[in-house]
Amino acid sequence: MPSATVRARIRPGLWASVLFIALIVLAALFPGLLTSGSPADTNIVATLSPPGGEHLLGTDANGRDILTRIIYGARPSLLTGLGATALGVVSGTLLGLLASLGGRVADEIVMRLGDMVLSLPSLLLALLILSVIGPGAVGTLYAIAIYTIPVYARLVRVQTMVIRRSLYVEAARSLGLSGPRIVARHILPNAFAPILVLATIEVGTAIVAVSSLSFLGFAAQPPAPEWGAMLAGGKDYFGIAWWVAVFPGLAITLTVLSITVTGRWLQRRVEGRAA
Amino acid sequence: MSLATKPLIETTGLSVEFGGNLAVRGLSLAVHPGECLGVVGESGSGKSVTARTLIGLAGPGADVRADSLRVDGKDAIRYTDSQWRKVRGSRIGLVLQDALASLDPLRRVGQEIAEPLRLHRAVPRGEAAARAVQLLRTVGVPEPEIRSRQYPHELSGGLRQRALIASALACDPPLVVADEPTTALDVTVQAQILALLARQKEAGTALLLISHDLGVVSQLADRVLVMKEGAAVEEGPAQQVLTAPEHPYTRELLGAVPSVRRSRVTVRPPAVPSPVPAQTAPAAPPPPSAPAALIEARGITKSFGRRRVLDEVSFSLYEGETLGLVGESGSGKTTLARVALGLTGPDRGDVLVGGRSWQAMKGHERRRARRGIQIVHQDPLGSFDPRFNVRRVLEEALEVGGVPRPRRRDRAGELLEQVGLDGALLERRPLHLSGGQRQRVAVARALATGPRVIVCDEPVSALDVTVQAQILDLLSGLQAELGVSYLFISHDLGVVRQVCHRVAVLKDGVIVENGDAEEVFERPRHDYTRSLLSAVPMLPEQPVLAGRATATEASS
Repeated sequence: MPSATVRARIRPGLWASVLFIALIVLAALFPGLLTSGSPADTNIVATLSPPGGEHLLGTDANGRDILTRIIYGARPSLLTGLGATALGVVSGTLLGLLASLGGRVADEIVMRLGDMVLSLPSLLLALLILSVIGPGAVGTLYAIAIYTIPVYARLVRVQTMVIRRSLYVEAARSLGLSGPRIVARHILPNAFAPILVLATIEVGTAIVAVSSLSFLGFAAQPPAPEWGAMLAGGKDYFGIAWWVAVFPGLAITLTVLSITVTGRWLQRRVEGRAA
Repeated sequence: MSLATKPLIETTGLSVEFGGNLAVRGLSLAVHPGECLGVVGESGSGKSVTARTLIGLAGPGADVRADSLRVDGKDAIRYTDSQWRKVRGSRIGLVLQDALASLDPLRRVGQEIAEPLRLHRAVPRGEAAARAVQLLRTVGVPEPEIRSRQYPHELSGGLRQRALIASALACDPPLVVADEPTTALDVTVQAQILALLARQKEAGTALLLISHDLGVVSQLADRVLVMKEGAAVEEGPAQQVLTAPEHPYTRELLGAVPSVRRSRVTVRPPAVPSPVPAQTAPAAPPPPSAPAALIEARGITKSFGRRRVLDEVSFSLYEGETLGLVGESGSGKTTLARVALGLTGPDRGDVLVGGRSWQAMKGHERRRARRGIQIVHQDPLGSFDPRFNVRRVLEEALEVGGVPRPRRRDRAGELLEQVGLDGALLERRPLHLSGGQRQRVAVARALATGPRVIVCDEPVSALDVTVQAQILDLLSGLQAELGVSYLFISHDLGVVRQVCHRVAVLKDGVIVENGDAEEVFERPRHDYTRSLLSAVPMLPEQPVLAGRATATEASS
């Protein structure tokens, strides 16, 4: 029985990932629990001090503790990542349903608009939107979400079309259930499992996108403790103080890696159940 | 003639284990030159695992043990993969159930057949192609030159199976292992394939024939081995095992096989108008004095693209009766069911439900009417939402039937009881139920809305014979109890004979014969009906019908 062996196998990578995500979530919710300092505290005496001692991960050019800033930086990264994904999932699902159930014309319009969005490089699109809305949290959210909307819409559309022809939907129809009820009770919930898995993985992608925009100076503004912005601030000192850029970069990498590992595991679980 | 007595393949004490599950336990068998050994069993009996193990294909997860395993008299227990490859194809040919999956979709049929020749005998390319054509001719494929240049998907199911047999025969192996070789085929095609295998047997090829179908085995086997839960329960000459079985399980199996020779319908429903005058004109409307039909189909015509699937089909279904719709694959049976259920509209014609046409109804009227006519599918698992457990499946149907929420749970339990299942199954998911249990849940769901008609679309085709008999018993019992009518769709004439009062025979979307079940089966008037009936492989007549398997409910 394959499922039993999968469950029994010990997966250190998975456990480390789950643990790391828990840590990041804790940092985002209660940063004060993990560090006593403040991300804005400067210490002129100890600028660019190397890792170790009082400052575990060293300090930046303004003498701010890097560990503290990474901990406080979890909240904006996670919030924008989750927010952008949620926005993408909700609008993508609605548009996908419209495309698959709303007739040929609606399908054509939604899908071709989606193709247009996907034909542009994602970063270019994000910069375009930010330059229209202006930098800031809300603008970043939209800028990142827009590129994911057609991805979700396509997935929901395909799932819905498969499920709509399934025997259990026909069974529900012959039972005498109304159309909207079949969509709400059978089609949508069953179409949603793969969406949720994709969304989990996409949270990681969104976090990278937030960081890239901050790195370019379009999202979080300099004093705010944001991983991408910290990375940007550290790049000028890379030759003399590698830790200023490396640790925020590591935070991004580990977060995305953990989310991806967990997401892939979820995906295997869901697909295994379906098979 | 020392060779003739030496078995081609022989094993004693064979056990195969998959991760702690014993699939085969202590089996012994031997196939001698020129004979046919039939291995019979239900799903999970280990018959296919046995066949695969005997040709070295048990798979990497299998733990194979045997006191002895000899191929051509040589000890094969420790054969390596490459040694087995030398045996397969040249000494033992293999024919599997699903010819489409067994043939490489990207290679021409001729190349596929020629492959074992090239592997085992180093026949030059040109000669191999000629030999492939010759083999196709041997297995009765018309126009073999053209066929050998075609791809598997261009061939019909019967031709594909012939091509597969041709490739198994390519190197003239003394033994052919056939695992359910006709299970996916229509009866008329099955009869042709069985005749082909019989010819090969006469020509001297030994056969190890694996099947769940006792009728198929009875056509070819000299000896029969009955398997249950991985072990042999009975073995002996076919005539003896099939007519005077010793083991109770063999008797149960034989008793469960639905026969086209006998009906189990005892009481005729009172509401059915006398069928005798209606016999003369097929599909004739009922006499004006007759009670109103629950479903009346009038001149249904339906096409998909250019293909006409149903052509002027008419029938009526009356209170408390079972109308059988018989036909081979592609005859339009399932489309007719969907039209009758109002799930798809006909191009021409009309279906009246309780006197009103589906077409004339508004959305909410149609949904209301659907409660009165429910369906049981061939694949019950596919007809349940995978997220739902049994309780939610039934409660949804009860909700549609207008049962108030607080009463639904109790009603769901009652429904399960009514179909012979334990209430403890309510919280289980259908995925974790047996095939028979799933089909019972599907019947329970169909009953939940209090229908007067249940459309059964191949309801027992995917089930083992003993389970099949139990489900048919359940359906008959419910009909006696509730007076529900069935529109019973099946390709299996034996099953239809068992439960139907009237029968309509469908061929290429046209009802070719229609009448009282007794009449149609005993005195078929249409040639097609006759050819269908004569194609059904029949068991030898049994002197004593040792107590038909009377619903052993618990084991379903």
